Amino acid sequence: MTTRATPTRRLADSLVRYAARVIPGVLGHWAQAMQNELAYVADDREALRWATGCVGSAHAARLRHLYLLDIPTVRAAGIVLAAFCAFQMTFATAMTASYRLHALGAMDVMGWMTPGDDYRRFIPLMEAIPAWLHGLLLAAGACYLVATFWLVGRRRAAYLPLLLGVILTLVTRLLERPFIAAVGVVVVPNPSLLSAVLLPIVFPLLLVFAAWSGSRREPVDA
Amino acid sequence: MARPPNRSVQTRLVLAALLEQSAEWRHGYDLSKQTDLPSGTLYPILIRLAGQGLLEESWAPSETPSRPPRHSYRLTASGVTTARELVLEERATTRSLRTSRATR
Repeated sequence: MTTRATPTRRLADSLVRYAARVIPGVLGHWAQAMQNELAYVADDREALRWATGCVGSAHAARLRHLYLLDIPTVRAAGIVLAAFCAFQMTFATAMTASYRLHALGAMDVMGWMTPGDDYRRFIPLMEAIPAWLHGLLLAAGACYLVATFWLVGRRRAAYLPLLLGVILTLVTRLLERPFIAAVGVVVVPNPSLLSAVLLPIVFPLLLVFAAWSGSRREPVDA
Repeated sequence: MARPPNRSVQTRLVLAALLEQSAEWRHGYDLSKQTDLPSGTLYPILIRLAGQGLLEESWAPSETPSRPPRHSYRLTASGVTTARELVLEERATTRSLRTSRATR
């Protein structure tokens, strides 16, 4: 004769099944272990306590294996940010190249994207900035571009080009200061915290951290 | 290189329990009863120890036909060494604490 499971036992069973769904795929056999072990807990209340603990274990395991960039919105935001940084770092060089090639149409369009909507005020700066500094800017832009593609392709090493991009950005920003001061051009008249610190440095560094921390973990649903 | 095990009291308890019968295969519920640790504390420790190569896992068929197979655990050779070191370390700490209290 089979005895019917009590509501407490049924609840415990449901909780352990829920834990099995939550636990990362790479730890699937542990979920099975918790589920099977429940059959050996004779007392129903004890079984419920056991199952509740399994739910906690499953959530803790999921958190430990969580790769932030596996969350679609976070990854999308990371891709947009890396692409924006690539655009920002190559913008000055693209503008200078257009100026040197006398591409006035392109100059006008790019001028609209600058504070003051006019490229002409940047002419002294474009003439003062040396080629090696453009080289650094392009290198930083290339790093961000590579990072963008790697983030799209879910490559876990994306933090490497990102970190290199941030380092090159900081170095470039330091090295360009004397040139900007020498010509007396105010590049951004009233820089906001967002445009001066958060977007070029803090957010990319957070992205580096998110990509790096996740690169050391096994995928949640492997 | 495998990370060293967490030195928390709970991890020491689990290692000590496994060390007591290091040749035997142990089960989650038995370990939980012996160490007085709930499953929510026990399993993360077991998962971590297994990941660090200190714990061997195996599926053992049940002696009762209607019951599912059990996941069994025992310390690996390096697990035994680590557990012994931790147990000795804990004994030494307890001894030095007792000595310092007695001399006060």
